Amino acid sequence: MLLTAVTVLFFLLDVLLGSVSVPVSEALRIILQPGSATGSEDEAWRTILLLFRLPRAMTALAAGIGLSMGGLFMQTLFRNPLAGPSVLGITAGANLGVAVVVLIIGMSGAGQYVHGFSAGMKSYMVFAAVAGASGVLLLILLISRFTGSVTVLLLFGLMCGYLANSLVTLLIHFAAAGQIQSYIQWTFGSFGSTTWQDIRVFLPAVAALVIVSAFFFKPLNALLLGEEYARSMGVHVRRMRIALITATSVLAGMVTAYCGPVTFLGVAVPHIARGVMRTSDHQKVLPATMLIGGAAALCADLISHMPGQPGILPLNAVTALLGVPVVIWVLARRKQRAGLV
Amino acid sequence: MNGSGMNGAGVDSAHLNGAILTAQKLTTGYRHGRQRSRTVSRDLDLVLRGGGVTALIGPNGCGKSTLLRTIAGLQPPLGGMLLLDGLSIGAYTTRERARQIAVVLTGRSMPGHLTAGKLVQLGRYPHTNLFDRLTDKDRRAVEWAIDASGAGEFRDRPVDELSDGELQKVMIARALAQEPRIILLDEPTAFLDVTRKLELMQLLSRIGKEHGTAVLVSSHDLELTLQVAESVWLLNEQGDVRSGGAGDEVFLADIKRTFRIPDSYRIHNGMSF
Repeated sequence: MLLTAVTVLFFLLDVLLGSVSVPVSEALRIILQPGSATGSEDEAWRTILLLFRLPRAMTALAAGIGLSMGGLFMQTLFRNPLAGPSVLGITAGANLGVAVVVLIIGMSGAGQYVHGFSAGMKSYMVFAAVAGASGVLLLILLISRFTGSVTVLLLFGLMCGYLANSLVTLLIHFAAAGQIQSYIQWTFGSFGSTTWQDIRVFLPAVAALVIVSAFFFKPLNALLLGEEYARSMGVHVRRMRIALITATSVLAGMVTAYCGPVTFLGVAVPHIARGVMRTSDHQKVLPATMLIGGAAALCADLISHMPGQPGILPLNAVTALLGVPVVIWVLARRKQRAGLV
Repeated sequence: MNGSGMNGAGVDSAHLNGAILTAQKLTTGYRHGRQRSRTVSRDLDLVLRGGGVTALIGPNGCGKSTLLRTIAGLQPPLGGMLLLDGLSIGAYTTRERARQIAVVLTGRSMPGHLTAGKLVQLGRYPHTNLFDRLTDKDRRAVEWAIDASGAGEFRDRPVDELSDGELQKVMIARALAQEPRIILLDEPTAFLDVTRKLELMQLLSRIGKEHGTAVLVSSHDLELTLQVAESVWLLNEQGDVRSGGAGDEVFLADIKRTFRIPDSYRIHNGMSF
């Protein structure tokens, strides 16, 4: 309950606070009754709230939930506290897709990312990111048919990541300075570049996976004991593995497509959730992970465009600056022998 | 290569009374890819009965774990048949099989940050619905399992703070909570001191006798297992198996030969006193 309240609070703050201050009562009226605009100031507020802040807060919420959920799935599946949504090379695949679009196709006149690439360019980028992520996912699913070992899969994912990153480096090496600038800007991550059109795809997708994940917590708990025990208790381990990997890939791929490579939250939030709930029981940790993930992303977004500072801070810098001390604090409080997953 | 033991535990219909699981010409081993495979034991004929401990003994590397894992369904047999209640084990779904067979694997597993009670509750997995809702029957089974295995005093402690012996009891309670008819334990005494070893084996024997469960235990502790086992499966380095009773002098001679124990040494099997 408390976690839900915190998440709602951060959502409201994220919508209400920004470089232009809008009175709370006015803001609520504009959001709840979008048709009631009167003066010109009202019109400006309307634009700010409905076209910028609301979509960005919704994007942050969905991205935070999605990444954290994916991170928890991977940490439990691989029984590895270092795992995250990017561990299988999915994010790297999406990066490669975007790099191809920005660095090669975007030779002519790509603008600054924060204020939006041209609409056509952006839809290419989303498509390329999804294609890159799916490419890596297909490779991993293919490999999973030939290996029984989840560690081999993990290593394979890692190798995919290195491969994709090296291709990106090559692309950067041969690209023009302007394109490199745009690409680097994209890698900073941002929740502020989605339109309502994007949100109509992104939000239902994350929501659907949140609903599906209700069927996951029971097998996830069994997987805490390792795949062999899980199998002996009646879990279809192979099916579960594919389901978890696919869900995580879809989440990580979509978030990367719409927000850039925002990866830190996915590794950090499950640890915070386990620390807060004082258990690894997924019935408690899974909802807590989603709520904390949403709240953390909103909080990071809020700080990245705090009122009283010029421009917007890079999101990836903010998440880590904010999150690392929290994770260290959570881990330091734990007993020495305690299992981390 | 004749698996049916010299003491009449082989597979003929007269001896199937009380049998829960039978192996017929079972070949265990590892498959590498489509063509290649490595056979560990060949043509095993075995009968597992309820109501007590069956000890699986043999020298290191003779295939005890492989046999246990094959029976548990953790690896496929390379040949032959495994029958559970007369029906091929492959005909059961994973969930149905999990209601019949539970395992306690060797080594210390790291099950994250759960209380002992919660971990035991995971044993209800094959009985609960999609959302793991516990019925009264599930709760009773968990209570019984915790009680029977003596894990009650640390049920509220996180498992990552338990000693090896305590964790072993919790893992056994988890297997019991599954309410299986067969429990397979791979080297359950490996990390325990002498007192705990005996205590554990007596616990397993009691569970078998009181609930008609078939308890199959692999162990290095020859004398300890012989003291509590109702029957013994002896695997040798050639991958053959003989089965017999722990009190049988002829079978004891077999055991001595397999372990290369001098004839003059007297094995304490609990029967000689």
